[in-house]
Parts: sequence; structure tokens; C-alpha cells
Amino acid sequence: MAINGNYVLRETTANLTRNITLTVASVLTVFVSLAILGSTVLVRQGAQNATRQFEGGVEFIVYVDADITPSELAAVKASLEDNPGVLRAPYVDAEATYKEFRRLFKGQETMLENVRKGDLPTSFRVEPKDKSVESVQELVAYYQKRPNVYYVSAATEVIREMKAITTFFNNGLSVFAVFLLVASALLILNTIRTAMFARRREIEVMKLVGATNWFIRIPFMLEGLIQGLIGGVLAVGFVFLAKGWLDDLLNRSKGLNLLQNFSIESSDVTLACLVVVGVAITLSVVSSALATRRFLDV
Amino acid sequence: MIKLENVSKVFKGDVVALREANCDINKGEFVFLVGPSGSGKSTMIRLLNKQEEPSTGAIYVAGKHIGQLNSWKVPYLRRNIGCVFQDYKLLSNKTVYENVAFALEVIGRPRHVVKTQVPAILELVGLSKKHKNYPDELSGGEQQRVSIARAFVNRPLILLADEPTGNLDPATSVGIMRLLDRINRTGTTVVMATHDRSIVDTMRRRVIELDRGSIIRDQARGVYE
Ligand SMILES: Nc1ncnc2c1ncn2[C@@H]1O[C@H](COP(=O)(O)OP(=O)(O)O)[C@@H](O)[C@H]1O
Ligand SMILES: [Mg+2]
Repeated sequence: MAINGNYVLRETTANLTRNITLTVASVLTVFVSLAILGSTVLVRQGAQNATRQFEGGVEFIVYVDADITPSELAAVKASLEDNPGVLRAPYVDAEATYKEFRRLFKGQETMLENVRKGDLPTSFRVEPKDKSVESVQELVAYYQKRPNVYYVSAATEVIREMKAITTFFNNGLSVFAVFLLVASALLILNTIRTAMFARRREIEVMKLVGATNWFIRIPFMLEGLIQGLIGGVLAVGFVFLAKGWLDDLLNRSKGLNLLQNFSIESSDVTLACLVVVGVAITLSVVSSALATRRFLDV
Repeated sequence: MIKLENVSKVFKGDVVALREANCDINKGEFVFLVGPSGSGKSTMIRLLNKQEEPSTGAIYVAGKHIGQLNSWKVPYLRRNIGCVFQDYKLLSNKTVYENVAFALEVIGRPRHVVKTQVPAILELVGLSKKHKNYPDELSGGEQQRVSIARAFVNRPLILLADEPTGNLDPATSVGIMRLLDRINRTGTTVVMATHDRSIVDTMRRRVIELDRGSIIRDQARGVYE
């Protein structure tokens, strides 16, 4: 099917400008919903970075001395594995420890320069069977006194709270975002229906002279896609702004325990932007397809 | 070129618009569909370019059983069938030239074809001088010429006209009939629904008469009645 690019361009811009109020409404709703969605992704990733060590039920970490011998290490390992209160206790070797260290102290060059791989204590990530505060404390106290144990770090109340708060915050925002996404899909749908209704005489003529359904649809679907994309691009801009604000906030609150490990990396920003653009495209294509489908029969 | 085999069309509420219609129209023929209002003329026209589906029976256009046509092929069928209506169906926000060019653009004809075909067809219908005018700046007869130009610009095999002179005075109607006659003489099959007695009687072409959905007469070189 030969499609005249000129024609598509002319019709699409005409649709977008003729319906300017509805177009602006759709674009803004798409923008707001995707901005919220993008922010939840950022916060979720940040919280995940902060609590990553304590993921998957890990309640405390047993660091062993840096100069531990293989047989001493085996003894610590055995004491964990034989302990009926311990469900799992995977070992994090020097390599993985150093990688994690580099991630946590990214941007802090003096730190990175002065610490070498062998300097860091390796550890066991312990997931106890019973995760109540008392029994975890008991286990922590026990391993604190074991030979060759350098330090035991427990998932503090702070981390528990941080997990709870971000989950709550994100679930709330996600529900909100979903409602707004539905609203923006309906607005795009309505904008396109209005555009098609305004041009029903043209569409009638097009059908009578033998224009294909796709030829009739494409300018309208592009109209929807452009609305979605403009909203999406604005939301991507907002994600970058939000990243800036969060960084600011984190810098100012250094020392505030809650946010100590909270960090947003560029890969998280990329993820948020991909989610935003992906949702923008899916949303607008689906609603445009639905809006134009009705006009396909005769 | 066009063949109806036992075609019936029943609308909801048991309204029989067409009853067991049979006819065979050859290439290059000029056929009048006559009959009182509500006798099924428009329905028959709308069945031919698949604006409506028959309830029973088979319709062949250019050798194809159009009831068995894939829905994506319908646009290509319609490119071979020009359509003219009583109310012209011109787009009021487009000039005469743009209205005619639109019919070529939307079926993907390249620009150089549009640029040569549109002036040629406007010359044929006698509207070259008014190509920049908008429809509401034209008389009824001129508007109908534009609509005929749009229907014919792609050189279809068949031209369907549903009461094309229904809104025009007799003198203007004669001009429109001359134009349709000229188009017919290029080899285009013309099917025209009308209840204009004087036109049918002066043209003396094949007449198919409908009454309450049934074909009651099919006469070569006929008169209105
Ligand atoms: N879309 C429709 N729905 C229901 N009834 C219709 C429809 N189109 C036409 N009819 C009925 O079919 C009959 C024939 O109509 P039509 O073909 O328009 O007649 P004509 O063009 O000869 O005046 C009429 O009784 C009319 O009311
Ligand atoms: Mg009629």
C-alpha cells in the first residue's frame, strides 16, 4: 500500500491542532500519570539499593576476619549450617564483596582508591528460620562471640522501617498511577473519536472512493501516538528532575540513618525512562487502535 | 459487468427493500433504475459497492462474487466503482480541485498522476475556471459536476448515480445527463437511479423498474412508464 507521507503529515497535524484543548488535556494527563509512575520506579530502585544486602529474608550478616584461614572459615560455615535456627547462610566471597563496596561508595574516589579487594571482610548472609526480633537478637549475640567473627550486622529497625515505608508509599502511588493511566488512555481514545467524528464526512468519502482502512486509520493513530509520546517525553524530563531532587535531599541528609544507603544510580534512571516511554507507547497505541476500530466496518 | 442472482435485502423489522432480484448488466451499458420512493433503488445501488450486504442471493461485479470478497479487498473493488449522490457529498473545507484530488490521494496515487488527472477531469466537466472555488460558491449543477469529476477521475469501470438530478432544475439536469452520457460513451457502465420521468423518456436507454422491492420491468430503450 502506497502511503503519501505528505498526506499523513498534513492530516495528523491538522487533527492535533484542530482539537487543541482535548490534545493538551490528553498530553497533560499522560505526563502526570507517567511522571508519577517514573518516580515510583526511582524510589523503588533507590530503596532496593539501600536494602539489597538484606533482601530475601536475610536478617543479619556475619563478617569474618580478613586474615581468616580456610579451615577457620569452614568452621564458621559449619557452625551456621549446623545451627537449627538458621535456614540459609550463603557466603559472599572477596570478589563479590569488593563489587558491592564499589557500588555503595560510587563517586567517593578517595574511598575507592584506598581500599583493595583483600582489605574487606567477607561475610555470610544469614536467613534465620524464625524472623522475630527476639530470636534474631539471640542469634546475633551468639555469633558475635564466636571466634574469627569480626562483626555481626543485623537488619536494624531502620531498614525494616525503610522497607515498609517505601513499599507502602510505592503501592499507594502505583494505584494512583494506574488510575491516572486509565484516565489518560480514555482521554486519548476520546480525543481520537472526537477527531474522527469531526471528520466523518471525509472518512465517508474516503471509504466510497476506496481508501484502505489502514490509510484512514494511520493519521488518527499517529495523532494518538504523538500525544502519548509528548506526554512520555515530558515525563522522562520529570524523571531526571526527580533524580536531581533526590540526590540533593540525600546530600543534605548525610548522616541521617534512614537514607544512608539510599542511592539512585544512572541505570535506575534509565530503567525509569524505559518504563515511562514503553508505557507511553503501549498506552497510546492501544487506545488509538481501539478508537479507530469502530470505523473499520464498511 | 454486474449480475444479480436472486438477491433479496431485508432490513430489521421485516422491511423487504429488495425481493428476489435478477438482472445482468453488460459492460458499457447505461441503465436507469426507476420506481416510486421506497421501491428499493438506493438499496440496489448500495448493494453493488458493498455499502450493504444482501440478505440472500449473489452479486457479481466485474466477474467477482462480491459477497465472498475479503473485507480488506473491498477498497480495491470500490476503486473500480465511482459513486454520485443526490446531495453531492463534497467536502466544504476543500476547493473544487482539492475535492477531486482527494479521491486520488487517499488511494495512494502518486503526485504526478494527481497533477495531470485532476485538471483533465475538471476540463471534461467544464469547471477548469472554478478549480479554486469552494463548494458553497457553486450552483447545484456545478457541485454535481464536481462530484461526478471526483467519481470519474480514477477512470472506474462502473459509475453508480443515485438520483443525481434530484436536487436540480430541469435545464441543469439536462447538462448533467449529457455529462453522464459522455462518460458512458468512454465505455463506462452507468447505473442511475431516478424518478425523473422526462430524463428517462428522452434518453431512451435500458430501464429496470422496481416496485416495493421487486423488479417488475426490464426493458431495452425503455420509457419511464
Ligand atoms: N438502512 C435501512 N434500514 C432500514 N430500512 C431501510 C434502510 N434503508 C432502506 N430501508 C427501507 O428499504 C426500502 C427501500 O428503500 P430505498 O432503497 O431507499 O428506496 P428508494 O431509493 O427507491 O427510495 C424502504 O422501505 C426503506 O424504508
Ligand atoms: Mg433513494
